[in-house]
Amino acid sequence: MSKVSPLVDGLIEAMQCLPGVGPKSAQRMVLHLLERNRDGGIMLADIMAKAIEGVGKCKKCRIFTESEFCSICSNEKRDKSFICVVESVSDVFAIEQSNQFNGNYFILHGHLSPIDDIGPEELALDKLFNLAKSEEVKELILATNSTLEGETTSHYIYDYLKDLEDLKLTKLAQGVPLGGELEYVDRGTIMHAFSGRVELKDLSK
Amino acid sequence: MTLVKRVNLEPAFVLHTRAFKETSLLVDLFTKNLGRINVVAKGARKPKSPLRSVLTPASLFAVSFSGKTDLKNLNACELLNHYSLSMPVSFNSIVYVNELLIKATEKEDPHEEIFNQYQLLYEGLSGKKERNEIEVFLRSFELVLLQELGYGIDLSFESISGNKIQPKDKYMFDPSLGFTKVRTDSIKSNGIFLGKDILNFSSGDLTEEDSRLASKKIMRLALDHHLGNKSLNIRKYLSKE
Repeated sequence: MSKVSPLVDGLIEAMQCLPGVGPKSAQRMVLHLLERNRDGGIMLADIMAKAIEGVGKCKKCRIFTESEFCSICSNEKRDKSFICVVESVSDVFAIEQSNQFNGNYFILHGHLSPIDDIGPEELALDKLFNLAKSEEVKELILATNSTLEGETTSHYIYDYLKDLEDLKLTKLAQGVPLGGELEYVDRGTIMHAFSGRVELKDLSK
Repeated sequence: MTLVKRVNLEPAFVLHTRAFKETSLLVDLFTKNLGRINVVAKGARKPKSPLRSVLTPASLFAVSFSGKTDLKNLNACELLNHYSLSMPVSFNSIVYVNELLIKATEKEDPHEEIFNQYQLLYEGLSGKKERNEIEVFLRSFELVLLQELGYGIDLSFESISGNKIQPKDKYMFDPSLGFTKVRTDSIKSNGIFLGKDILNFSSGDLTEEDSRLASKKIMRLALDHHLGNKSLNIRKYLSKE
């Protein structure tokens, strides 16, 4: 890489901490900011410093927020008796976009993975268990990813909480995707779709 | 270490995957003839990649990969068989066995017999099974694993005297030696087992609770000894079991 000045080189190198940004695209970004968009650069630097400094995790659901409780947890209109357990914040964004769920979340920030040394402590499961034991929670929806580790995580949670009365433990349905053609659906999914088939009567309610 | 340039349609299981760069996946494969291999599946995390959500444990693949370094490139991957694990206990078992394999075997060290046993384990785990049936498969996998790594355990004879193990006698188990007969009244102390349980384990009959627990303890002692300081994390997580 060209050595221009310590600041420019330093910025190019610092940019590469972003995922998917290598030396070439870092250089392009830096040159763009310096050549054409200095205001944008100042704004970016400002808000980034503020965000990194101020954003922590919501005390209740562990989503990223700069206040004590996030806007979902402190929203009075949301139904606090439903808690949806997901692996990452991007899962929350995906579910929020569907406009289907009006409860609260709990974010694990990962899944149980002994090989990577990620256990119940890293996922703050004791926090989740305490939350689940509180009276206002009626149903825990386990929406971990449908991978081996995700299923193991959700089973671990189920195992711990299954004896709690008055707590419904559910997991998301699995099956043929919307607009999907059976011919192109993989075997595992078809198998799940068959074992989880529903009566049409229930659907038309 | 073998220098692999190009390998075609090699039977393999996925042991572990982790995200790599923006859209790629680092995959720990357990192949039939080449042992554990690390490959990069380029673009496997793109939304429309055919490999997305396919490269997971519990499936047998025919993989083709190439490369000269430690990390190969995955060129193609065909699904041969998917094992449907229904019981959650079997999920834990697979997570356990995969961690065990990664910690106990070296990369690119071929273990065909372990591979066959691993496949048998999946066949055993798929479908509805009782808990103790699952344990039989796990124990026999562990036995074969130790044997193939050169730490086989003799479950029928004493180690020093060479006498047959008798159902009514008590034996002390030393992971580096094997079983030795002891005269003691209690089998509560660690590492002492009843002959009957050892023989039941050797014949694969773990229907009795005592034999089941004994076989688990024997394997745990042996594996811990041979793994050295690489302790298995999953035991910590599932310690209440």
